[in-house]
Amino acid sequence: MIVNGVQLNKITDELWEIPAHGNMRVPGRIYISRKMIEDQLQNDEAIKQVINVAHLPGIQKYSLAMPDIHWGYGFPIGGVAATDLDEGVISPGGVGYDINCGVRLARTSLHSDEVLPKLEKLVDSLFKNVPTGVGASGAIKKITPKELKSILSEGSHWAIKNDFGNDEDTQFTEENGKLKDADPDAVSERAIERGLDQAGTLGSGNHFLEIDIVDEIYDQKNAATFGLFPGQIVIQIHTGSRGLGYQVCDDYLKVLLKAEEKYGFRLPDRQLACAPVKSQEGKDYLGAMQAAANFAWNNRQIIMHLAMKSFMDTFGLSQHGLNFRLVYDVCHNIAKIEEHNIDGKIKKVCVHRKGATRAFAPGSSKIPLQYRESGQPVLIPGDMGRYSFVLSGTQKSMDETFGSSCHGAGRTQSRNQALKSAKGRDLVKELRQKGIYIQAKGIKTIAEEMPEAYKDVSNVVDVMHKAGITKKVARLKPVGVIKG
Amino acid sequence: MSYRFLDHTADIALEVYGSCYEELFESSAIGWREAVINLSVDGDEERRFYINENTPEELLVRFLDEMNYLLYSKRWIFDSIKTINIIGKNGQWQLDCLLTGAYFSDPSLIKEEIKAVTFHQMSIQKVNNEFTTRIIFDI
Repeated sequence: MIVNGVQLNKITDELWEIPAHGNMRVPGRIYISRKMIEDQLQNDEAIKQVINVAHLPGIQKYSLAMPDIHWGYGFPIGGVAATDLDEGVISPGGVGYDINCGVRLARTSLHSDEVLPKLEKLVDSLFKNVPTGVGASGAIKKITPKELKSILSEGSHWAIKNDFGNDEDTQFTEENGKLKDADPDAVSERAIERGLDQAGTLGSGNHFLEIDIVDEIYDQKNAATFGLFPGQIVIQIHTGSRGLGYQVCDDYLKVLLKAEEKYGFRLPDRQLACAPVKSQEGKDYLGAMQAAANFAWNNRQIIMHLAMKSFMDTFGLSQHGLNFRLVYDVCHNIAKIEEHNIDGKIKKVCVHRKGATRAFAPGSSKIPLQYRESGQPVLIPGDMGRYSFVLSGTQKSMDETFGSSCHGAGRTQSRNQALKSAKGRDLVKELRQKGIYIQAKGIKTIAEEMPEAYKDVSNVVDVMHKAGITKKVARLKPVGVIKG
Repeated sequence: MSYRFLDHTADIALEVYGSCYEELFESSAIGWREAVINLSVDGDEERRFYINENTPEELLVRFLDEMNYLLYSKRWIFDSIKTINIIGKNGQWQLDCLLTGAYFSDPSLIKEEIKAVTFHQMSIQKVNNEFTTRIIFDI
């Protein structure tokens, strides 16, 4: 079929290929259903971005996109590409401005029956304890630039050293909460400045902290492995590297735009600016990006600890009494050096995931021992009115997508459209009638982020499940939300 | 000077116009300000930018980046552009700009956190004797 002027060939019901043509170095492959192509992709430039990514020097196998594909800056959102370390490039457009935007899921031993009668008190406490919104300052004492640089090196280990959690938490964080080759000296003074009072803050826009109920289990065994049971109260945190990460991406886009001329690259989109991975520019960006990623893990660690304190205060229980534990923490905007099987050989490649989540298979040494049989938990947030999902990684993910899966659902309505739809409506009351209590910095945020402004994430998750890339484990239903 | 906001699914999109580069840049700054803050100041503190870039688009992005940096890191917003000069010569573009503005202390006046000024769909063109371009702010 032809989509937006592009030839798209069906491989399976869930997988479609753009044949390599022109200056594409590899074909494009999109995981998506026919219905989603007809409803969404026809009107979205993202398919052309899949083609653009295929121009990257050293790209291996395919320019990939997950079913939550929509257009972004450089890569489409939902884009995945792996590049050869020796001949390939690294591109900030394949990571995004919000470096290590990601999701963390924590569990408790509480059942919804125990929590719902105190839900408002709990959400109000969370809203008070967790800094949210533009300009909100950190929940930690004012840090110096030197301390911030420690965060950039140590990731979530810094938070734990400063009594925001336990050592065990790092085991259940992707990369153990710290990318070891982070280079804080590659982070500009401006980025440091932007990050100074943002450590431990949630941010705004589509970032959130949510209280959810585990309302459906699809895979009993994996759910039990992850510590999930029906009716259980869990907490999702969605945030990233805040202004520090945005500035790092911005700084290096400009550096790499100039580097393109030096290395003789001609990419079809300025936002795909890149440099060889092993060049000085490439190494500097990788070091700075990893530092920003560490900042994000530190944020999510602090916020989780603050959330736990709200639970302790509301229910008069200790952490032990709550059995408050981290299930897992995933990034969905990152580039990492990983080993993958490329045409029968294990090779180190630079995997870019832009709005895509790592989904490593059972047996992978990179996931906690406790999850080696189930595969890595993959956390997929939906909108605040419907549901989110917990999935598990599979071998097919390793074979086909460099161990990657989707990350969420995109918007269907612009913020203006959402604000118009919200006029005259009491959205807080509407959500309350659905059993959801929300606290947000402003009614504008609630309107812009209303559930109908987003696509249905279950369609995205179903494609990945049918394609065998990730398996559905559990569905989470929101009951309490805080937003900036 | 003029600008208008375009409907955009995920981010903020601005279309800006000007009879010359200087007006175009000024329209961009005023449009950006409307997008990000609920505040008008009577500023008397001056700040000067000197920026050099290879293309007018890169110059525009850098110019707005500086505004972004001052807003989010310094809590400083411009009130007016006193002077602005843009010269493009021999493949180099230069901007010299003097702003007045003021600090503000209440962060809740910030409407949006712009992650970055992107190059997406940015191409300064002359149409019917007027310069125009689109600017997309990633939020």
